[in-house]
Amino acid sequence: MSQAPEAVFDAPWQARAFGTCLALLERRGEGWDAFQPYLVAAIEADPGADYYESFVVALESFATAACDNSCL
Amino acid sequence: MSSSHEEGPAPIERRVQAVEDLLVERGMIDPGAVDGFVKLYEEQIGPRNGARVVARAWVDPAYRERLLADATAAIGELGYGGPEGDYMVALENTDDVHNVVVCTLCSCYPWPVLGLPPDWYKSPPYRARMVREPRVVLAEMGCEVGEDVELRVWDSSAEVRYLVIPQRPAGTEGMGEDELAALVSRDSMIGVARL
Repeated sequence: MSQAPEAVFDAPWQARAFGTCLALLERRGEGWDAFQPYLVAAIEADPGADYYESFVVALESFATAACDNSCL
Repeated sequence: MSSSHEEGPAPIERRVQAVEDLLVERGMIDPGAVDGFVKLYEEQIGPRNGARVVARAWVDPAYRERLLADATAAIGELGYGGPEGDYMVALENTDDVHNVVVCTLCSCYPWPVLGLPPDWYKSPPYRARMVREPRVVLAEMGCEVGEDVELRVWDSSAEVRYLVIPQRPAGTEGMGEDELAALVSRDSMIGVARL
């Protein structure tokens, strides 16, 4: 009936990074837009980098900012 | 505290784990939440959601109208959407117009509708060449677009994400929605394939 699912992640760490990002957004009641500026900045800083490596750089910044805010 | 930035080039697996551990430790995410999202995306959310949207548009003219007028709302009618698919625009392929989507910063792929982006979509050469010589790139991907067909390349931005509605294949008049949805490939909804 439906086609075979495609492999969506190339490595487990990509899946973890992605899932961590969505979990944090959900908990904060935020949409994707809250994370997107971090991803855009990471990609712009190193346009040739692997997509998920940029994603991790962005996630690190996003999580750090989220932690800083939560401690105030 | 996270010190992953200062520790130098830790293997990426460790960096990701460090972020997750920190957030769990701080109570900023639930321990099982990450697994839940990974499972959701690996097993449920994928191009199938987009395929259902396309199939509905093919069989239901009123839905097609709503989809073209306000894709975000029309996609939401089918229960799809969520934090990463906020603002969608549907682009209809016709005999005269073929739409194809690229994303300059590849940060705006409509994940809830199309699943995760394919590798080539994320590659800088694909993005650059599709803008410069779309007909050539499409032909290389096995998608021949006649010279008489207008080719529109859409660069999705931070504000807008696109879903291409491919043309319904000939000979599918008797098919139901489920059967039709099974025909719709992810690539056809990016515009790099025809059905």
